Amino acid sequence: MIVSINIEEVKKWIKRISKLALINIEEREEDELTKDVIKIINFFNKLRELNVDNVEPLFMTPRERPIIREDEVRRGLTEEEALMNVKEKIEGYIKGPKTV
Amino acid sequence: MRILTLLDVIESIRDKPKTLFDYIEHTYDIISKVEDKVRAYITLRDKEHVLKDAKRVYDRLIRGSAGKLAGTLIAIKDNISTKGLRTTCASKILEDYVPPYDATVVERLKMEDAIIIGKTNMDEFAMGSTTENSAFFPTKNPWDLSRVPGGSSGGSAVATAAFEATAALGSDTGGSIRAPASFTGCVGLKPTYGLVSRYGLIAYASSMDQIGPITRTVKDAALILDVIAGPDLRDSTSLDASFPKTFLEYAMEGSREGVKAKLVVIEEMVKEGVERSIYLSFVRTIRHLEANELEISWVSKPIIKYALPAYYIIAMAEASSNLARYDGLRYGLHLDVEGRSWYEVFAEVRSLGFGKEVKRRILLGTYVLSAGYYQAYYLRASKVRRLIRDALVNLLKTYDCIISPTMPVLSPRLGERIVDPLKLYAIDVNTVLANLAGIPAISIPSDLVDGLPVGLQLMSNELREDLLLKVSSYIESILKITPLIPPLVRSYVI
Repeated sequence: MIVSINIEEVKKWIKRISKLALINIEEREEDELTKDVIKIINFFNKLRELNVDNVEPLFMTPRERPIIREDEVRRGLTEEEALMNVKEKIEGYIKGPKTV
Repeated sequence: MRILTLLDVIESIRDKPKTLFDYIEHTYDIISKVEDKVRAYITLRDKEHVLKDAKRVYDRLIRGSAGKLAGTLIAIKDNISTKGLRTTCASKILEDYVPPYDATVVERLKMEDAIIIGKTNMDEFAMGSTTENSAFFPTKNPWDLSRVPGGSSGGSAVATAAFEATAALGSDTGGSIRAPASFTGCVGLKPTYGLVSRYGLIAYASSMDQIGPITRTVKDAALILDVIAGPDLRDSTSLDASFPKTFLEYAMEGSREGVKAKLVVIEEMVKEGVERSIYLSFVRTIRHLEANELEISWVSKPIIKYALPAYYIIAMAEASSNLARYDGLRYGLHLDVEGRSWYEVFAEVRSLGFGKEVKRRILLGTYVLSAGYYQAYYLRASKVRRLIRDALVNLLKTYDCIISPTMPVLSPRLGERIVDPLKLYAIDVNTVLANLAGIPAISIPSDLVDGLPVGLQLMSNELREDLLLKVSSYIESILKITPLIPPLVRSYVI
């Protein structure tokens, strides 16, 4: 089922969504992305053909006996190991950008 | 003796431990001849380091304390964490990331004295079906260098097919083990969701991701599965399942004694969108199986037509959430943070670090989860997922395995599919079902069409890997085409 999609509307939501997803869209990428997104949304809209009103959603395949461990202290990574990929650290802390 | 499979390698090393060093030299020799052409590896370990590991394994062989996979060279997809060995996910955002720990599957391989030879190329964050979405370079199909090897575990399949490793691990979220196995003439197994621990696997879509083997024969896949399967306290979705025999024993039984199995074809998986040459090859294979006491029925399951959009909605939704962690502070691509806002820094890191397909999936995933669209897309897709699982699980109460072509097309040429996302997604049509349903599936080589390998997919009910391996091993013994050796490496191998 093809639902008509307004190009300008899609451009607007790409702007809004890219803010939420923390991804900058360059102007030169915008047209191709919009075109692809419209195609993909139309492909998703095929699901609208189905009546699923009384169906329980399935998010994960069911587990009868989930593997759960005791909540006890175990040796994990050392501080050095845990921070080995950090580029900017100060006395065991990770330096980040200003948040307030 | 010709040494063509993982079991051959193990046997010859057990017989004569010194062979181990010749085998390593020989493998590196093949790599020096073909790797420039196919480019399977992102990171290949130095031969000297591998030989040092081999020396330790050799000492254990001499003492009689070596593990099941003693000395075998195994390649690992670059989204599976390897302690001290760079793990990039084929993404610029993780280009220099070195994990401080091993994934559970890697730990288990090492426990059995396997030697990790290197980390293989893939579509960035496993998003793709051709290995063209790697941020570094595409991998090529050793059967025809102008064609893709399939993906996203393309490097793992090519390393195995081209004898640059004896077996490999891949990961499969919607077909990423089976697609490249099919296009390169390998066996690829996606286990039941939870049979293999995902601890240390860099997440794409957590409710469907599963690690599995890519090998040259069904028995080899069974043996690797024996090593990596089993519950893990570090993955709460792993399963505590027990089977009376080893998977290798089931595979051995299948090829030795045969099995009277009831197989079923779902018409929708064979007719729509399947290339004529693939359809004809599939029908030939089926006749061959029927002549060998396998009973084959045909049914129609119209719900299958909705699997592909449901899969992509769910995969993108989970990806957008899983990939929110990449901000360049704790690991990966890093930018100067001085005097800049968190928003500016994180958005720039992500924009520079992620490739086009990854960005597209994060955006669409954010969209299908956002207020106002959640019900129309993500929730609806999850309901369709239930219908698909019920349909398959119920069908598998009557039949032992569902069979189909693994891929609806012959291996595409480089550049052919990647230009249009829907054309790219379309080739996953038969593989996504097993991930949506959580059931196991295997692809085994069934034919060569125009000199290119074609794969047969079998799916069984959840935790029926015993049956799946028995039946596929029997079919492998009927078809007699494995192990397949691409012309590119034939003169080096035989």
